[in-house]
Amino acid sequence: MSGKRNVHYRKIGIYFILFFMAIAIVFPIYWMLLTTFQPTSQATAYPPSLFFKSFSLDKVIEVLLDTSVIKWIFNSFIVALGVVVVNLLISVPAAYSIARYKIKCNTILLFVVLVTQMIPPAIMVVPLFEIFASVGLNNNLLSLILADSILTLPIGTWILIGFFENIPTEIEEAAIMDGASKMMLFYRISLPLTYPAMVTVAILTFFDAWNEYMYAYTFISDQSKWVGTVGVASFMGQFLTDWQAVMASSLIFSILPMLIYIFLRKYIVRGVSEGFAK
Amino acid sequence: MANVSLKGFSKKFKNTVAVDNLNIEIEDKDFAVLVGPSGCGKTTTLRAIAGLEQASAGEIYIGDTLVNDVLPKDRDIAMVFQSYALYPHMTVYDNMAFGLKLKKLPKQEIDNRVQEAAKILDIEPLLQRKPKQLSGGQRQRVAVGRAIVRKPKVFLFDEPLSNLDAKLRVSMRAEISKLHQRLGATIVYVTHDQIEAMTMATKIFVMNHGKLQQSGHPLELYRNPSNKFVAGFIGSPAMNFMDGILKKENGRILFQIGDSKLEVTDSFQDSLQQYLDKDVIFGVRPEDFHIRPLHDEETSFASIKVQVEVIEPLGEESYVHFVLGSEAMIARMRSTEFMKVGDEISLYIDMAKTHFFDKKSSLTIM
Repeated sequence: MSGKRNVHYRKIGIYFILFFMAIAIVFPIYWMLLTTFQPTSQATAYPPSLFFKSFSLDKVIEVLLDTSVIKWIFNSFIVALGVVVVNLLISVPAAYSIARYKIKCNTILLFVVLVTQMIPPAIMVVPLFEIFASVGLNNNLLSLILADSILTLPIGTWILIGFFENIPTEIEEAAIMDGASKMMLFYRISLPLTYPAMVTVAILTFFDAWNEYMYAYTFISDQSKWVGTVGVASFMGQFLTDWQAVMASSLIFSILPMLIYIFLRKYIVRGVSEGFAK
Repeated sequence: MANVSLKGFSKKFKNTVAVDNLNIEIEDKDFAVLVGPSGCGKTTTLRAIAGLEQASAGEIYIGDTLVNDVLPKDRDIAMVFQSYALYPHMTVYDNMAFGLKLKKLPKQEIDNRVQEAAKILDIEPLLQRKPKQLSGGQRQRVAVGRAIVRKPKVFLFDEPLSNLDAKLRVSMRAEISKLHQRLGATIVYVTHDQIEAMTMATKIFVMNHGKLQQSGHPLELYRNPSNKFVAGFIGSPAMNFMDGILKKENGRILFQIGDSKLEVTDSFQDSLQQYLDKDVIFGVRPEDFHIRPLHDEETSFASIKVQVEVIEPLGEESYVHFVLGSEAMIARMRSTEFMKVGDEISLYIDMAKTHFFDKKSSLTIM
């Protein structure tokens, strides 16, 4: 009996923690919606209200029409898409090679890849800025694509290595018997089997690039080339912050990743769990 | 179709010798089974024939062609893997057609071959399914189908039945044997299951520790094993072995185990002379224990008294477990209704069918 009661208490404890975690995660989103969809007078009132008193789309329309938020989101999309493409073009063959062709320096190579994840991105800001400036890429979205790719490549490669290693070598051997060349083994056999993992890596990479702020703020000064994160932050001034504009632009900026997550979340869960389940 | 021969074939993995100086000759249309325990080198040998492993030494011939440096696809062979190794992202049809497409055969020819193989294997309704939608037995058929469509000189099977349940294994065994007869193909089949080897093979190659122990027709190996390993590996339940000493009394050689003395038959009297007063290993198959001596003039029966420890009824026959000397033994008996666990019974050994092995070399004393 006491065992059953213990299990019961433990369940209550777990749900209690989960409830507060959910509140901590959902409340900022709720606050964003609340601030965005209220008339400015209510949104800026003090003390603030925790609940909707009236509904207004004024600020959303104002931000959409009077600012470059759509342009910034488009820039973010271009950068994120570019990072996904660069990342997959490099991480897929890299992961396949590491998983399939066991060479002595593999362990060292993987360690080095992992070590790059431990370097704080801030340390690389100045060197990267110097490099991009020297090749004429400053104030160019390509610099962001390249810089963000550096940040996301290791994790993408690691996830894909796990996937490639999970493909039984016998399948490739069967293809060898069928007459497949080494390149065919890669693109006709192993690659199609890793599509789910590639989708996972693409989504995670897309999110990383979409949310990146520091490089975007440093490398791009031209306002028309800003990405979403920098654009949203621009509503926060040194002396005055238009919080409703911050929230409205944040909401608009969040719609695309939210949709992606809702529709493709099974790939994210599967990719992360299978890629690291070794 | 073609014969397969390995001459002095060896395979090393770093410092481990997986196969050591293997010489085998598989005739055209043979159903050759490489059998042995795990790690004996049988799969390595098969993979070397397939071209998936390079020989460290020796020569591999398929037909008259030395294939050591020939790519797997050019060896004119097909292989069925233990895990079937079907392409998960392709339909059954595409799985079977993949190799033919790479060969750039005309579409109609590919379709004809796939349909023909599907008909033989009774998998026509499955052609548009993906492998994950198939049962283990169906996957196995598709794997065989993928091999058949290539019309190879030699089929290689790597433990293809080991992932199937016992009942399906028995039916697939018969199907593969039928397929062999129908295609008239040379088959090299690897298994650790001696029953599969005995029931399917026209020629068995028994391997252990990377070396060939004996080869021949299944019944030849069963009746005349060349050493203790083969004697123990072929046959189920395995042959009973007991250590003892050979003595001579009244001019006749006797095998002494504990208090029991068993008179050796005439056929062994000469060959065992040199082993007098020496330790030898005595082997009896479970079916050569009898409740009463058979009335056959040419056989002589030696009697032993044993205590029944376990009776395993299997229906028509039973396995009776007992201890002789210090060795655990199994006898295969037709009727055991009269005995129960703990009974002391007399058993008669058909001495004409027993085996003696040199204790040092483990070789059969002929």
